[in-house]
Amino acid sequence: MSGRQAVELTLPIQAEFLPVATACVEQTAQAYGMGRVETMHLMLAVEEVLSFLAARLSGGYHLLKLHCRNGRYYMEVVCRFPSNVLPVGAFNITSTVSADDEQSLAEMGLLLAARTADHLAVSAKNDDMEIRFVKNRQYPALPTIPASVAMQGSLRIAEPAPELIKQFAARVAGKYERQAPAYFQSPGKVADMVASGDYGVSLVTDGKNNIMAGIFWRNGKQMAEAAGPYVFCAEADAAVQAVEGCLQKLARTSVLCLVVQQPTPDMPAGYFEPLAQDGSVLYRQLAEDNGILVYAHPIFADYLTDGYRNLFLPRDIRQVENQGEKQSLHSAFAVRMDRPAGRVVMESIWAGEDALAVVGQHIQALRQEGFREIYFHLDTGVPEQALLSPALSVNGFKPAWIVPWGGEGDILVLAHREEESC
Amino acid sequence: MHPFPPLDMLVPRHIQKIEPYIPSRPDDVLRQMFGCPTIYRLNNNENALGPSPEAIRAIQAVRPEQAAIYPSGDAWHLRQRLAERFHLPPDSFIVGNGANEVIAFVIKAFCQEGDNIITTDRTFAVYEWVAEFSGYEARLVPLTADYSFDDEGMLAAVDARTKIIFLCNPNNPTGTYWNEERLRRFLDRVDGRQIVVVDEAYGEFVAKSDFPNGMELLREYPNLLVFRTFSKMFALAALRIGFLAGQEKIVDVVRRTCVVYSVNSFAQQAAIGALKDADLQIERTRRMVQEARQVLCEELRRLNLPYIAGEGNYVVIRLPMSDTLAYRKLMAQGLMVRSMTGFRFPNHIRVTLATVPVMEKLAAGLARIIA
Ligand SMILES: Cc1ncc(COP(=O)(O)O)c(C=O)c1O
Repeated sequence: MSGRQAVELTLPIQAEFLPVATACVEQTAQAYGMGRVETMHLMLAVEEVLSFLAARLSGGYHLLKLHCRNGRYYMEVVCRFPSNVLPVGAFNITSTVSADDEQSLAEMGLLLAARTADHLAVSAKNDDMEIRFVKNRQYPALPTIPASVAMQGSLRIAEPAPELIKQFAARVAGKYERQAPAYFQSPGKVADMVASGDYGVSLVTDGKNNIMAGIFWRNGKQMAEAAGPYVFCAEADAAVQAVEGCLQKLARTSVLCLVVQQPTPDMPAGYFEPLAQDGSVLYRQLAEDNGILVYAHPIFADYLTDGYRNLFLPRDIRQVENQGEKQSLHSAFAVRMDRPAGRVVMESIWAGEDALAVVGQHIQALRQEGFREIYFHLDTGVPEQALLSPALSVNGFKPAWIVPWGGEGDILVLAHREEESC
Repeated sequence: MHPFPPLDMLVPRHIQKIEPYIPSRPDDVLRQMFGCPTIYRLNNNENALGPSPEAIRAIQAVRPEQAAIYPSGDAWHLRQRLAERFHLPPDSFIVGNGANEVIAFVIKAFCQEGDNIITTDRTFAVYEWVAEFSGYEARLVPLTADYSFDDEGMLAAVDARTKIIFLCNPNNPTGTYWNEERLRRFLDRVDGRQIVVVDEAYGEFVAKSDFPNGMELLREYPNLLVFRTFSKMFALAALRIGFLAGQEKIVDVVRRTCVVYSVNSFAQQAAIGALKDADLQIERTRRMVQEARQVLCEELRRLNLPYIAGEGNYVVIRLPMSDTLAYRKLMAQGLMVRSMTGFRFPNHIRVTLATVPVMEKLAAGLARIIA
């Protein structure tokens, strides 16, 4: 349905057209049935993005494509424009309207937009830049269901009908409370998340259609991310069946790697491999790994070598380092902000000479915005990204874990801890 | 630069959803990546004995000048030999570039938009893949608890748009099979309404007296098609040659969709050679497989590893760890197996039954990774 309800508008990037954009977003949000408050937030966000762009443009005639999509449990707005309309560095959320402007970081356009959206991401795609933001639909929080139920009959994998998904969500919220993602508090939302195709679920019931176990995951192109497993009976086999059901559903899809952050204590042994040393991140490959070439700067090469050895991953590590060659002047970073979770993931769009300073500004601005977790995803399949390693290391990023097949190559996840911030 | 084509619009939706199959890399590349001096390929159910003496002779007789000439477009000579061996008319055979190609011919011949085919969740994947990348629904009826095809479930999944039912006998990877009585009962109940394909890629490995010979059932069941391949028992996998058989009227329909000249001359000559001493090859291979199965299963019991060992030249082993991790750990020891997550058997691997010394190496490798 989301594709069929899409709305697209092309308009000049000029301040006079701001009301056209906000009106489009407003009307579309209403047609999608978004609430009044969410609609207001989306209008504010698009206004910030457009005024930011209009202010940065040095003149000339440039077009912006505004794309609205109904994601069922959220509304998405994408602003797409050719990347050559702005200088490289301008895409950074920390870029200010005037270079020597001393105004506080807090007044920057894209950060303002990020305050009203639930997720905001800046990214590059072919020759286009995209600023994408998402507002979640509000759902009523419903009474939770008592934790365990007496099992009747034998366990079986159930087709995830909406009613069962809602029962599952209510049980998860009831038993796992704050340890489970917040969306489980809104069963209707969880049912919509599955219906949208963005998420999948594997449910195990007893003979009376009572949920006994389940695992929930977000589908990605190469990587899926799961939460759980959640178990509501004493039967050890319930979690095993839920996990196997999940793996069977993901088999023969494009997903190569399944990651579970903060697995529950109910995770059965023998299905996953630890990524982080403390066991807080698990993963499993879904296809045979016959090795790839990866690029690493000497700073992180030892970490990668050890990591690959521990994971039994066949990798040919090619070391890359700047040997005095001229780099492009400016760097640009993509940021994915998840405001409800207080988490940011940064990625590289272009690596340039100013990386050290720009990364520092990002950390400062993001901390001021109250983001507690800042991660950098370094793609080992892209040689230029390895060149960023010194700038990241000096700014306090430290290797946390490797996500095999998380990007073009593996993703080296670097974490910036609060106490280390300057 | 010219603009990039608008792939969203050019590529049909069902193709956008499909992932390309990534075949394994050549041995030299794998040896380097995994740092192992030799690789034992136990992942594709190849025949470790190699081609039969007559097949080897036929391959050696190939003259390089022949490369300039198109092959027989419909494998004329080979079809005469197949006709003699199976007592069927030559026109009841279509030879393809591997049995894989004839799967595609059959689906193309009978399906159109909105149609479906029936197969199972844990069997050879190509039926499902070809159907899906052609835009048809593949209905996956789960295997029964004893890993066999579920006759009732498959019949229940049939509707007015079902065109083909694929049975893999014996099944890859579980090695289970329907005996003649069960297969006949199923065919009787389908009663000619759909095409039933019986894929006997591993049929020659089965010595059981109740195992049905699809070739003999063809006369009675006009909706039946049987697949065979020269890749497994006859050890000609590199040459890509397989075939289907059926009553001429049905085969004539399939022939309309088939690619002529897709099977090269050398493969055709080698296959003709292989038929000459087929019985010798079958006999010596069955002996090797039987011995390998016995040795391996004994080792697996000793290691406390559950397994599914039925017919065919393969065994499925259940591991107390992720099969994709086991794959990497075994590769580091030069042992290449098939991880079974992709067959919807998480934490299982499938291994080809080869010579006894290699089975012993495999058992030692397994002992190391579960230690
Ligand atoms: C059950 C089954 N059918 C058909 C084939 C295809 O064989 P080929 O295309 O090599 O003839 C295979 C090969 O793995 C198989 O396992």
